[in-house]
Amino acid sequence: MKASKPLEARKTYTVIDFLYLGVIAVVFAILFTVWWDVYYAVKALLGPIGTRILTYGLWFMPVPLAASLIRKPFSGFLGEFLPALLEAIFPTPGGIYNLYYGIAQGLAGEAGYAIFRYKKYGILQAGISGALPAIPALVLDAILFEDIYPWNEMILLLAALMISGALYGLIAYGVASSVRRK
Amino acid sequence: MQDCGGILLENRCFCVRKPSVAVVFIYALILTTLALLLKEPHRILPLVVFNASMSLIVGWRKVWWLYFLILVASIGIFTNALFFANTGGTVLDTGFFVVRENALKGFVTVTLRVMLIAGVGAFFVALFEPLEIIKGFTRELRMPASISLSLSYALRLLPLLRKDLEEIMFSRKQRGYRKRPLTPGELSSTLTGLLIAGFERALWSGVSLELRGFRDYKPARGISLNLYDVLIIAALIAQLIYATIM
Repeated sequence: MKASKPLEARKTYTVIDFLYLGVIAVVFAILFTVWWDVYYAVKALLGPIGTRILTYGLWFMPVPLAASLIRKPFSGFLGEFLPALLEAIFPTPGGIYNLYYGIAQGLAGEAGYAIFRYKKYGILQAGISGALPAIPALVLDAILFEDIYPWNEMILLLAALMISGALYGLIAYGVASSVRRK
Repeated sequence: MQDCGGILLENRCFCVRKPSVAVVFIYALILTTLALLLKEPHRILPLVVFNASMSLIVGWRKVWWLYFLILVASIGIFTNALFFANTGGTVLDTGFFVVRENALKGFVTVTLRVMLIAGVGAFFVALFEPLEIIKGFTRELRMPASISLSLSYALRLLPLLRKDLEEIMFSRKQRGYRKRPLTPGELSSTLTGLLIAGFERALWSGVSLELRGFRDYKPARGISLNLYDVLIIAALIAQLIYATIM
């Protein structure tokens, strides 16, 4: 009985956790808007693969950031889903389609923590959780824009997205660690 | 001008009840999904014209720039189509590049698809304010109150954090750094500052809400339909029939 109480407390969300998720949602809603400029600037210089490696991971970053900070099941999913929901209720060209990205990327990123049964929230989990949303992102891009490349190029693109996601996952872990220290 | 809570057209408030958030959201969700499934331009075009017109009628000031953005983005869609689907008979030969049948079809289909997604999304957000949407989700679609708290708090925080971000960018510029973060280190330092400021506010807001008994708050649930909802459902059915039969 004594051992189960702290575990229960670690899984239950408090009002403060939900407000933290609100902060993450609004920070990333702003950053996503600012990031489009960076994405297009880099794309003009480096082409599709280089751009994806350098910039794309930011769109997966809320998952490892929210999970590393809140450290509760589904915090990563909510971290990705809430900014997407915010984007869907503001006038954006993606409209409701943003929700598809938010749900799919959130669930894929959450799997990075679920496979460790929510017992570890370290740097490895942040990297994996940053890399996994690359799979649904690539599929959703292919469905919407009909970007169906030959299979070898698809694998190259997926690798680029996963590397980018993992890199931003590591940044997210670093940011979460310095925020937790304060 | 007094806002009576009705539909706002051209800065004049018409005192009729707005449609239900749930009905318009489901309308937008189904048509967004349909946009991904349709591949023939002649099936998508009438849906684009209808939904884009509706969004512009309801709130053109709020959404016109979305269509401008799509116009700009269509250059990228065209380049993409030239790169990936430039097969079939020649349609245009400029001397620099040749446009073939499938590239043109791909460009038109994807542009119309993006316009339909933007059009139904624009119709949804033109009808309601963000806070109305959140309240509607909670009341009519049974979204948990805690999620609606997160979103409402995010909306409240938006101008404050935007100001924080501007201050951080200004400080960076004063210290001789790049204003906008580009490298991982710059992104990390910008994000850390923003999050620490936001979390400090969130912590004390959360303590205050807990002390006021937010945990026991039970939002009202239920949905009531009016004539506008019936019209929107009819428009959805008509579009579904057109897209599947024609």
